Amino acid sequence: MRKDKEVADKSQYLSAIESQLQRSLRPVSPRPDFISDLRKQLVNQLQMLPSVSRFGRSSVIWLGFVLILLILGGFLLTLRSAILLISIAALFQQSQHQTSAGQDKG
Amino acid sequence: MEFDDEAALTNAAQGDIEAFGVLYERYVGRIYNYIFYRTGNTADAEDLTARVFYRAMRHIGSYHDRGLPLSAWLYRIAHNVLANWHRDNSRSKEVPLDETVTGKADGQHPEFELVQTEEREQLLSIIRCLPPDRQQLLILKFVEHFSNYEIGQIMGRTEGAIKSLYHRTLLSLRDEYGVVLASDTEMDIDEKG
Repeated sequence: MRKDKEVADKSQYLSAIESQLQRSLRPVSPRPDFISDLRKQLVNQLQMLPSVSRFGRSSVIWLGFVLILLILGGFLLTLRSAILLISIAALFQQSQHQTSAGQDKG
Repeated sequence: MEFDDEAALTNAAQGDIEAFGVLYERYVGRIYNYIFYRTGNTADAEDLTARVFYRAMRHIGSYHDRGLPLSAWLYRIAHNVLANWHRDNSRSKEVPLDETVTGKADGQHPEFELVQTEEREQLLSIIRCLPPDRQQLLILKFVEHFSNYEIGQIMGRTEGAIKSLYHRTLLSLRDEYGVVLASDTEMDIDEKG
């Protein structure tokens, strides 16, 4: 019985706090001058924004990805060509050694 | 022309000034209210509201990746801007809410001048002493009239977690600040009882 009364008192107290919050926390209105000035500034800024935002971030990310792939491909191609050149040079040198060794024997 | 948030945002991200204006008009008052109750004065509320919209404008292209309603996204930006402001302010100075919001200092709202009671002064200074997440919850619920689900989206929590946080906030208002509130609430209970 006493417990029920305590629970009822508690919930009454909480709803009293709620109604006090409702009375005290009410929306306020910003100054109309502030709203219109900020709007003008934002519109000006929006007009000056670089075209990046107009393409969208995903387009920029894709473009970056393709560029990185191209650079990586170019680097690998250069590396492969360098290895090929070194191999050819080594083969050429080896064949020259073999020729000179054969001449020495002869 | 009528835009829903999604359409307005898509157009605004492509540089459509009219669409951006629609979004701005739709949310500037709400964001201002939210910030005003967290800062306690109009000058800072205006400054921080402007920062929120500048930041939103710069990142408007990345909005879709976040999977949040636009309102939640804007409130999160506002929350971050406020967190930075509180951090910077705590290093320099503190403006007591009861001197600003309740109309003792310059730059107050006429609404506060009209209905300026001791109850409100006490309650606002008490709310200001609560942890930031509880302040945020009370403002979103009572000033902005958001549902628990919407508050959950803004605060990155589940609806159940918001309900629980709300209940704990009321209890802490009762337990920790009960003495201050007692005289007013007893009156309410008498009226209801």
